[in-house]
Amino acid sequence: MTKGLINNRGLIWKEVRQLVPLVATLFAVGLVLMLVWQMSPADMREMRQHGRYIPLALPGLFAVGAAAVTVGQERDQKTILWLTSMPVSPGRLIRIKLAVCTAALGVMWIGCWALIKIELMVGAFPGGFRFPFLPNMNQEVFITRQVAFLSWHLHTLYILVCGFYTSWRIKNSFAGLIAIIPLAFAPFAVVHLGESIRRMRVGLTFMDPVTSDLAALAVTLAATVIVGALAWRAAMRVLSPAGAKKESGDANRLSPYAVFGLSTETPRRVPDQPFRSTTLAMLRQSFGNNRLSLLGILLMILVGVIGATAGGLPYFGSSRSGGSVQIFCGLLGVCFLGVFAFTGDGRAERLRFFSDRGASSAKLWLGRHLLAVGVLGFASLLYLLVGVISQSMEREDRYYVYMPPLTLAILLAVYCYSLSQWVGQTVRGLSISLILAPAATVASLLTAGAVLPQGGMTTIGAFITLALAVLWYFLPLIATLLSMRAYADGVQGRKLVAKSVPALALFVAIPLFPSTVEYFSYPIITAAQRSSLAHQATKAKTSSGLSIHSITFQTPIGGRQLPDVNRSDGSKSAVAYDDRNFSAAHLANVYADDAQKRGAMCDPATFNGILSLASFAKVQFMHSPKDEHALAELNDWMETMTKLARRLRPSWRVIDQDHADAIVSWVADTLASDQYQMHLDQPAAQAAQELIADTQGWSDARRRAVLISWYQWNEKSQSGAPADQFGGYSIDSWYGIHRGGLGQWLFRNHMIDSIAFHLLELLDAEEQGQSSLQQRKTLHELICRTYQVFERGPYSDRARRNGASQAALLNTETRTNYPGAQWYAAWEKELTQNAITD
Amino acid sequence: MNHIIETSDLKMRFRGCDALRGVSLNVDEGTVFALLGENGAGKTTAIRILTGFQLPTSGTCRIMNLDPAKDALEIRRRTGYVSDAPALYDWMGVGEIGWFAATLYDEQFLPRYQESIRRYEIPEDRKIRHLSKGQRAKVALSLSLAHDPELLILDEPTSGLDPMVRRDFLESMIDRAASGRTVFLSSHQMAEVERVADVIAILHNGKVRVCEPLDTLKDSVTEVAISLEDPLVALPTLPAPAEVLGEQSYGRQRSMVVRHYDSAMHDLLATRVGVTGVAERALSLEEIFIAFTGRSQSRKPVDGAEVPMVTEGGVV
Repeated sequence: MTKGLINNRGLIWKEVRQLVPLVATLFAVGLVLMLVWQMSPADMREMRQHGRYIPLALPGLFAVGAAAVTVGQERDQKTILWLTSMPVSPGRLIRIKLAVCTAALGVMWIGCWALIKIELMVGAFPGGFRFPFLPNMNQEVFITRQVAFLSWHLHTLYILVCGFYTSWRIKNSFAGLIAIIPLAFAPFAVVHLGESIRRMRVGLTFMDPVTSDLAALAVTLAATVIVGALAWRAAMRVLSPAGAKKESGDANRLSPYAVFGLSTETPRRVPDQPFRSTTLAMLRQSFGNNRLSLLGILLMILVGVIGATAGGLPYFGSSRSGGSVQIFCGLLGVCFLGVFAFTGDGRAERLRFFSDRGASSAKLWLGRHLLAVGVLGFASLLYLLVGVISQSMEREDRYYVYMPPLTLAILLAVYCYSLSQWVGQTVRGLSISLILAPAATVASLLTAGAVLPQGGMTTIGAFITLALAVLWYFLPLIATLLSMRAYADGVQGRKLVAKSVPALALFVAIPLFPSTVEYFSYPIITAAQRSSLAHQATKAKTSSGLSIHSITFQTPIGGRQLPDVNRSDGSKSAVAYDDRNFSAAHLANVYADDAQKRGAMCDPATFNGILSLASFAKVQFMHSPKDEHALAELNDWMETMTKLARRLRPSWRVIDQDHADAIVSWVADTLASDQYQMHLDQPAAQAAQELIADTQGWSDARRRAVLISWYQWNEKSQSGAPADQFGGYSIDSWYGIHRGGLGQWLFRNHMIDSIAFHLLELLDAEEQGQSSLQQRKTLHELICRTYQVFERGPYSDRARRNGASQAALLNTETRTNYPGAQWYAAWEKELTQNAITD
Repeated sequence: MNHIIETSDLKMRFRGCDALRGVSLNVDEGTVFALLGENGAGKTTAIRILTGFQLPTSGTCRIMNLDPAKDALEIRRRTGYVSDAPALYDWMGVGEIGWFAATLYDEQFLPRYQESIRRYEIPEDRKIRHLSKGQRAKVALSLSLAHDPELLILDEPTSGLDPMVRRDFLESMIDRAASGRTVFLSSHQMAEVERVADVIAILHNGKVRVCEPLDTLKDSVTEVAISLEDPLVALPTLPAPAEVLGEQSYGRQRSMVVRHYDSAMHDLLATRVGVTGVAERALSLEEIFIAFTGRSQSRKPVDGAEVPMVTEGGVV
């Protein structure tokens, strides 16, 4: 073994060096995609669901590109001829290439598992890692983990071997890479065919899933052996001395004469008149070479068009699950079409022929894209035609199939093409271009899609954002147009990349522009202010010794569910249906039995239920003021609500202060009602009046709640746990937090700092009798952003007027979304004034 | 003397084209053998067969008593080969490619390669892709010579080299031959071949037109300039073994390239009525090459010898 390694160290080193750029590119692309995934907004569920499997794609992509690099590239650059002129046997060469690629595939898998481990650490797989797809498309619950593990690894090895076969068999690297795609799916096709035959023979009988998955594994294993043998044979043919007949056949195999069965001796007819336009000559040149590749690309696009449109057609409509794979295949084909623009006859050396004859770079550029214009135009027409036929068919499941509008499909396809042609022009290695193009397209599209539209909600406005989006969309095409002269003059590699750097910088900068503008206009507090805040928060946290009890139960409003109650001793119990008692007294017994001793936190749903029940009792009393039972019920509620408000004030959560305010408002409103005036002497009413009159501690409680809520947020953020609540408010319900992936990442912590700071500023201003308008405007910008204009928002003077205030406090949506919106509003000032007067 | 290369009636047919039409060659050990021919004459095909890259349609070939089709590996171990456009790994450095190739040869390979590279003054740390065309050719030559091969096969070896390096290289070929090694080269550079080659073979239309030691070849071909009283004066047919390779008229001057010309023929021409003078001149290898590789079929003289067609601008 060691001797073998020493003897072959040169060859092994060469193969490893050739594979390093591919491996590095794949890991770099994978990490970028993972970063994009991490930055994606939480509401893009589909993306977040699939994005976590990015590491699994890396070994597969490596398997596709490995043979193209180690075999296809060597054949293209003819280095294989120099290599075979040395004393090294073909068998040894083939074995070493295969062994190194297999070992590198193992390294890719190790890297893949390391990345999955990182994802597990950041909580991407809450229920543990599971393979997303399996060879026979069954879900993993039906299969052992070992079989799933083997299937994935074996299938990448199979793809690697397929790559070797196509690279040795097909001289054109591009065509070789495309030919891998149908071969990669061949074992699945065989498995499905076998299953169909079995069903035809024995009917729709149950088959043990493990047996079927093992059968699929066996098919992949057999396919690996068969394709491996074919690859070996093809390689030996290439590396052995060429025979006259074979060479003759190879050279002419794909010529039109051979395809149409014409004699090879038949001379090619040369048109009498030359092309009068360079662009037309370029168009002719576009499909003069690489015909097999072009055919493969066209087939892929056709499959995509059918997949996207044929949901209603008799056959295709029945296999909706394959639709997304077909659409993916189509978009991949468009990406390949982009790379195709600058390969083969689009290579710099070939374009130089035109360039040396005075063709302008614009004409060269246009000539290279005319083919794509034709292909995409034809695909669009087909899309329209098949779509119309498909939609006109009457099928039960037709309406469940989503067909993207033609405009969207064209926009998407043009973008895929646009970015891919840029990659094709800039990156030298074909296999790297073919892998990088779709990956870069996905990454850039998702990043910009998540970030750029946010510009419309910032100070730069919708018009400039739209203009930036248009510029960004067409930038790859503009970039290749601008670098066309250098490209056609033979500038390649780093020099060409250097020429593309300004365009690349702009391409990256445009999506970042809205976030950057916003960052500088965002009301971020200074380091000194934050430090002061931290100091106060720590002090508030340490001085708060009262234990806080959480109140949570399911309200029975509108349903028949059994309430699940938290008892004061911390245990949970479900109230039996027959024992339900939603009276205030009962609730008081359950929740407020030790009300004087402990503080309370009440989750918004529970509080809404309590408030609804209390309001119901109030409505019943208002409707029948002389009904003793209704009065007793309302008094019970008054007592419970008073107790609850007193328990909520010590809570460290901001939302509980707003809950307490809502109770005070509710109690005040009840006491002020005409129907209740004759009952003001009752104990419950007396207690309620004391609650209203006691406004002294409110400001301190709110201040303490803001500080400790902020403290808790920071503690949770620093611990790595998902911090999605501030002071009991779900921050995901704030429009201000949805600023795209990058904005969310940039502003999340700043936002909470700033909200806490401005809530405290609001309290300070109001305590000193000053206007809190500026603080409220800032809070509006932070929380509501541009969703509402300030004048109509929850922090506006309009919403804090007498009457509107009470409505806002009793309104669930307002109360559970906007912290401190009603602090020192008209209702509170009126109560305070009354208390002073009394 | 042993033949290091022996080919017999080698034929190679590609689609619609006969690249070789029965090539028989014997190359002796310790010689510099030059295979000359115009573009498309079949030189590269012949070399590909010799190096085991191509199987002939028919005929036999042996290199160092080995069959290239069966013992290609052994032949490649003992020969050095530089193709007309060597495709080296351009991402490797000059030193790296030497180290890489050294792993396939004996221990002496690397020191010899490094010495050669130093002699050519190529920095070892420079990437192949950053070398000039001439520097690449030097690296390719160094790689092919570093294992001190018994037979060196070179296809257009000096293409891209500057005159100084070309001279050094050619002299090293003479040294190799002197040390018993054999050099088989194909080239268009007649002046250089003339300086170093021991034996010349001229390949034309897939056939060997002539294969002789350089001195013999040069001695056997003569240009004869004849002054006539009248352009219409007919000249006598030269007797065997004379072979007229080309003939041209300029007014009353007639010029012929004749193989195997001797003094008796001079008298025959000089005594002809209407001939006022006959002068002979030795030809350079380039002129001999042009005379042998004329495109048109030579006309047959009365005695059976080929007679070239006379066209303006020279014998073609």
